[in-house]
Amino acid sequence: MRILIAEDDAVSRRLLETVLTRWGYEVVAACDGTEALNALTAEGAPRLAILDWMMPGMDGVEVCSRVRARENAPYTYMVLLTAKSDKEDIASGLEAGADDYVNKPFNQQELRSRIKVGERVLALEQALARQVTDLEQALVQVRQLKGLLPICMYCKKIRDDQDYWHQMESYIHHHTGTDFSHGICPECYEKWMASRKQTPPAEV
Amino acid sequence: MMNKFMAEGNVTTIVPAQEVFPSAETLDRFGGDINLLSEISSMFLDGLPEMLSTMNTAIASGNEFAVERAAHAIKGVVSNFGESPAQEAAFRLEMMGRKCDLSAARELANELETELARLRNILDTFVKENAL
Repeated sequence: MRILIAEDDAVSRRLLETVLTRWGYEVVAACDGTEALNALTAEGAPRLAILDWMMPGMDGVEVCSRVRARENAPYTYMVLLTAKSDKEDIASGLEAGADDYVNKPFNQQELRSRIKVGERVLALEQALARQVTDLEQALVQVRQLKGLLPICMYCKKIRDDQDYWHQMESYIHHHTGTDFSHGICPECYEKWMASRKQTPPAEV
Repeated sequence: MMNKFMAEGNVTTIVPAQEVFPSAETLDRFGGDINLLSEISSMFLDGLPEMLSTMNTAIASGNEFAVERAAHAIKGVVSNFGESPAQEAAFRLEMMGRKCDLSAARELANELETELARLRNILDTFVKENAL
């Protein structure tokens, strides 16, 4: 998995990079907030980011805020690295769009655990996004069924967009996944029985 | 405890070396990796003169925000090596900048430089011992 780290201090950046690489992550390093924002909003950007709070120019909080302001963008899980201990500061960082924070200097176990939380959230988000896509596709198919279907008035076959005629069962199955179990309704049963009575038994 | 002479600008101070470095907590922060700690220490030692220069320029120009940022940067990097008087002095200088009161900044910066010299001595020794 790729992780972006944004840290203006070269020493802390190197430490973070080394530790994350050892844990098996592919690290994308940024030296300031602007570089981090560009990396996080580019095509195929890392979905997990560790951002130093105080950086020259654009700070970590502003990066969070700008990343969150995008519409129709994949979710980015962002952790702020902070030396701040004031609860109001922390709250403002979370309200700006950060998902979590880690105090500096970071404890390796704590950082690793929080990254794992981020991975879990991203996995859930991706699963949810897939479900939404499936539901949207299903909705399109249901709309097709609710629309005007050309049907043969005799055999009840249905004509599709490509001018092919389908058995009603196979058409509905294809568009909704519905399977059919065959039975007989009371009305048809009566008719069928009546027709049998009228038909003389075959001579032996 | 071993004493070492350290020259810092025009002032020569006797700086006691810390007996145990790294502490268990500091080493744990580096995943128990002495080589990584040594590498990071070297990086810090290489970058320290520039950090001090930035801080001194900020104080001389009376730029409170620049003082806050410079002290914050020093505090952040120093904290990687465990709690120290240098970290505490950097924090106080950062607060001075934030409160826009640099009246005692020069004195505090001198104190910070002395504490950083002490830390530099410790890290220098550590790096040399681990280079062998």
